[in-house]
Amino acid sequence: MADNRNVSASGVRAATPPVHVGTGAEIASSQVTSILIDAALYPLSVVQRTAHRFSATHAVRVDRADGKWAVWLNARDGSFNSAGLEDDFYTWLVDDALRERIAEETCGIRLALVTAALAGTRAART
Amino acid sequence: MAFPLTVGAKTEGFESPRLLKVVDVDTFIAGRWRPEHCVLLADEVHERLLGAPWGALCGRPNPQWHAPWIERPALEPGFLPGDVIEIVPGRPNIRIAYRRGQRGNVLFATERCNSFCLMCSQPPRQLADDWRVNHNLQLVELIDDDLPNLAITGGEPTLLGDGLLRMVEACASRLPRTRLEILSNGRLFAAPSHLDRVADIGHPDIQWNIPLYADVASVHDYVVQSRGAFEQTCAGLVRLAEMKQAIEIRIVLHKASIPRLVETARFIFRNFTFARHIALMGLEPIGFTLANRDALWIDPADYQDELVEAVGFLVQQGMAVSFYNLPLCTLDRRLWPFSRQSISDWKNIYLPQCEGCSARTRCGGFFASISEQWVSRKVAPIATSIGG
Amino acid sequence: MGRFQPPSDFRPSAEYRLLPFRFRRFYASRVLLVNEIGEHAVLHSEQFQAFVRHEMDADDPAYPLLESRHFLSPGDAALPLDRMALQYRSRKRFLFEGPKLHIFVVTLRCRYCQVSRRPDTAAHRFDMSLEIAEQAIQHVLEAPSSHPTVEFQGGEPLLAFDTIRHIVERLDAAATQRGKTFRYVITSTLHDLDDECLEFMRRHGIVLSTSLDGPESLHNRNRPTPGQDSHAQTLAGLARARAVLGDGAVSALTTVTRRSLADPKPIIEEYRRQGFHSIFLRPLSPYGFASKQGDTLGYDTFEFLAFYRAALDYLIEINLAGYAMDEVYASLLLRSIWTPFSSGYVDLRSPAGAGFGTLLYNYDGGVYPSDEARMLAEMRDDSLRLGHVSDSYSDLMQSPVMQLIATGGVAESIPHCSDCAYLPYCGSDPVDSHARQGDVIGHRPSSAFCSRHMGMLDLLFEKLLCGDPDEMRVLRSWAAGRPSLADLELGG
Repeated sequence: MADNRNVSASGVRAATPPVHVGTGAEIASSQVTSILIDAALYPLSVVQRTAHRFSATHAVRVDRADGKWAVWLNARDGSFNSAGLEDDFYTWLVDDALRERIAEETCGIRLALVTAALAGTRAART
Repeated sequence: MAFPLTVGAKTEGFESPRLLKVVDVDTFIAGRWRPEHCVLLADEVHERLLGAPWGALCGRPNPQWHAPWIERPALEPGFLPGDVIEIVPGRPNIRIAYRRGQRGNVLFATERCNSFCLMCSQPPRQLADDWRVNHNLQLVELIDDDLPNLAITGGEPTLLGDGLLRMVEACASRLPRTRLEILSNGRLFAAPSHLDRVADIGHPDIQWNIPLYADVASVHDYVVQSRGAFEQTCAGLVRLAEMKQAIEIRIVLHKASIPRLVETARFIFRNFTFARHIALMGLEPIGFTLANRDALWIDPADYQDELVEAVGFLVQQGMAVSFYNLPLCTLDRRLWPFSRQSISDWKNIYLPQCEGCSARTRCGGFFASISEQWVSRKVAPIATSIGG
Repeated sequence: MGRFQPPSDFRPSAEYRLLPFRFRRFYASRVLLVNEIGEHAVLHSEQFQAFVRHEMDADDPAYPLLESRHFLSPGDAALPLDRMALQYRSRKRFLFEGPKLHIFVVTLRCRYCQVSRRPDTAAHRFDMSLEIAEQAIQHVLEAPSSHPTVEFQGGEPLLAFDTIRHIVERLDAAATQRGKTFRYVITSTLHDLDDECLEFMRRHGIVLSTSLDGPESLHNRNRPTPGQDSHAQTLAGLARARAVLGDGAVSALTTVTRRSLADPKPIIEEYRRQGFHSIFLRPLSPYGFASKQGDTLGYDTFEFLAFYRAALDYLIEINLAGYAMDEVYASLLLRSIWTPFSSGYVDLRSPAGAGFGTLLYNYDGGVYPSDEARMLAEMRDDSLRLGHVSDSYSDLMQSPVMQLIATGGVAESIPHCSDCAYLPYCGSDPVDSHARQGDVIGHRPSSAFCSRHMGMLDLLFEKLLCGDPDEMRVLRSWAAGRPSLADLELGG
C-alpha cells in the first residue's frame, strides 16, 4: 500500500493548523518531537511544505535558531508521537526538497505550456 | 492480376512528349475531351471518323492516316479505353500514366525528397524536375472525373512548393469528386510557409498520408535517415490539424518499427487523436528495402502479438485502423476485420501457395516484386470457409 | 550499405531537460511520475534518482519511455510544446464550454416529506413557478455550451411534471436556433411514474437516474417510507420505465452508508439482478439528509476505501466471469489517466465545476453553483448562493461568490494539491472545503475529499503497477466503454 502520510486518519474537520514560525506559545514538552534541520541545506519553503503534511495529525511549529530550522511536532489526539516520526519527517523532507528543485527547474516550461494551451483561446478572452 | 506500367509499342510522327487519352468511339462520345487530346483505337472504326484532328491513331499501320501513329501493343491488355498514355518520341515504351477503373492511380510529383527512408520504394534523386508540375496538370485534365481516389506521391510532394498548390487547385476544380491523398512526410509544415495556403484552396476531399515510425526521434530519424525529421513531422501533424486538414498516419511494419509499435500507438492516440485513420503497412520489397533487408525484414508471423496489442489499443479508443499489404494467412484472425485489399492492381499477385485458399477473394495478396526471402513462413491456404 | 547510417548515429543526446512533472512513491522501490498533461510513467527508485539528477543514460530503456511520454526533452532540441499544449487544451476543454450542467430543482415536495402533495397554494409554495423557470431557461440558453445537460431534481421532480414539460418544450423549441442539443435527466425515486409522463420522456429522449442502495433490507433502512417498501416501489418504477424508455434509459447510483460498508457484494449482486451494467458507488455526502444522521451513518475514509477496494475486486471478478459492469467513478478516473481528455465529470476537475461548470436554479429562484451549495443554504448557510434567476447571466457568473469559488477552485494553486502527483486526474471542490473545513480553500491534509481521492487513485495505480492482464482488460473496457480486441471470439 502506498505511503499515505498525507491521508488523514479520520477525515475529521480540523481547525486551521498552527504552523508558527519564530514566536508562539510553548508546546507541552513531554510528547513533542523536535527536529533540527540545517537551514543551509533546506529552504524554509520546503520545511514548511513538509510540516504542512503533518498538520492534520500533529500540531506543528517551525522555529529558527542558530542557522537551523527547529520543527516541533505534537500528536493532536494526545497519544505519544511514534518512534519513527522523525524518520518519516525526513523522508518527506528530502522528497519535498526534490519537488521544489524540479518545480524551479521546469517552471518556465510549465508557464510556456499553459500559455500556449490557453492564451488566445476563447476561454482566455472571456 | 498485376498490370504493367509500361508497354512496348512503335510510334511515329511524334515531335514532342504527349499525354493522350485512349478512346474508342463510345468512350470518346461519353467523355469530355477534344480529339486533339486523344488517341483513337482506330481498327474497325469507320473511315469518316478518322478525319477528326486526333492526337494520334492506334492500330494496324495505314498509310492514309495523317495523324501521329501508335502501334497496337502486342502484350495484352496493353492500354484500354479511358487510360491515359505518355509517348516520348524515340522511346520504345509507352507509359500508362492513368488506368481507368483501377486502384492506385497517382500523380507523381517529384523524385526529390528530404528524407532517405531505409525502405523507400522510390529512391530519391536530387534533380530539377519541376517540369512534372505541368505534366501533372495536363494529366489531371485527362483523368475521369468519377475516379474515387487519386494520390500525389514522390519523393516528397511538398518540395514542389507552389507547384503542389497548383496541382491541388487543378484537382479541386477538375476532379472535385475524387478523394485526393497526398503522401508526404509533413516536415515542411513544421513552420508557417506558403504551403499553408493549401488549406485555403478548399479542395472538398483531401487527405494527408503521413508516415510515423516510432514514438521517439532516435528510431524514427534512423528509419528515415534524417536527424530532426521526427520533430518536424510531429510539428507538421499538429499544424495540419490546426489547419483542419484530414490526416492519415502510416506505419510501415518492419524490424525497426515493430519493437516500439505499442508505444507508438499510445503516442499517436495521446498526441494525434485527430488522425482520421491509421494505416499499418506491410513491407514492399522494392527500392532501398532490398538493400536493407537485414535491418528491415521480420517475418509477420513473429510480430502478431505486438500488432494485436497496438491495434487493439487504438480500436478500443475509437480510432480507425487498417492493414495494408499483409496477406490474411499471416495475420492474427482478430485483425482480419481491419485488413484491406490495397496493393495497386498493377502490382498485385498471388503465389502458387495460394492455390485453393478460401480467403483469396478477400485477401490483398502480394507485391508483384516479391521473392522467396520476403515471404512469410506462414503463407498457406486458409482451409475453412470464413463468414462475410 | 555505406550510404545508410546505423542506429547509433541517431542515439539521443546524453543531456536532456526535465519537463514539468510531479511524483509519488509506491512501495519501497517504485516511483510514479505524472506530468503536467497527465501522462504517467513508473520508474525504479534508482532510475528515478538518475533521471532527476540528469544522469540517466541514453541507453536506459526508460529513456525513450520518458521522452515519448514527455518527461524529458533530449539535448538542445526544441521543446515539443505544440503537442503538449494540444494535450493540455484537450484536458481543459471544459473551460471553453462554460456551465454545461444546469440543474432545475422544480419542487421540494416529495411523497414522504412533510410537505404534502395536496394541490393547494400552501404546497405550491415549494414548487418552481413558471416565471422563475422562464428566467432560468434564459440563462441556460445564454450559457455557451452547445451540448448542455439539463437535470431535474427535487424533492421528487415528477410531482411537478407540468413544470418539467414546460421547460423541456421551451428548450427544445429554442435548441436549433441556438445551435444547442440538450440532454435531459430526471433524478427520481421512480415511485411516481405515470404513463403520460413516460410517454413525454420517450418522445423527448429524457433519461432517468435513480437511487438503488442495495438489496431490499439495506435500501429500505437507508430510505424509510411509511410502507417500508421503497425498494419494491423503485423496482416497480424501474420495470415500468424500462418498458417504455428502453433498458439503458435508467441509471442507478448507490449512496454508501455505514450499513453498506460491511460487504459490497450484496449491493453489486442487487445491481446485477436488476440488469444494470454500471454502478456508481458514491460516498455519503456530508450535507442534508446525510449529516443529520452522521453518527450512525457516517464513516471515515479508510473504511470507505476498504469497502471500495473490495467492491472493485468483486466487480472485476464478475466481469471476468462474463457479466459486464463498470464502476462509474473508477471509469472516469481511468479515462483521465489513459486518455488526454477530461473525464467530463463536473464534480472532479480543476478549475472547479462549481459555478464554472454547473448552475443550479432552485424552486425559489435562488441560483447556486452546485447542489451541495444549495443544500448548505437549506442548512442556513447561503454564503455560496450566486444570486437570483432575475439577475443577469453575466452578473451571476461574475458575482462575488463566483470569485470566491475561484480562489479555492484551482487545484494547481492550492497547497498540497499543487505538488500532488494526481493533480491532472483530480480536482478541487471549494464547496466541499467550505462545508467541511470552513473556507473555500480548505486544508488538504485533513480533507476527506483529498484522502478519498488519493486512496482511490492509489488503488487504481496499484493495479496498473501490478499489471495483471485480466484486470487490465476489464479496467480498459471500463475506461473505453467498449471491450478489447482480445475479448473477441477467435475462429470462423
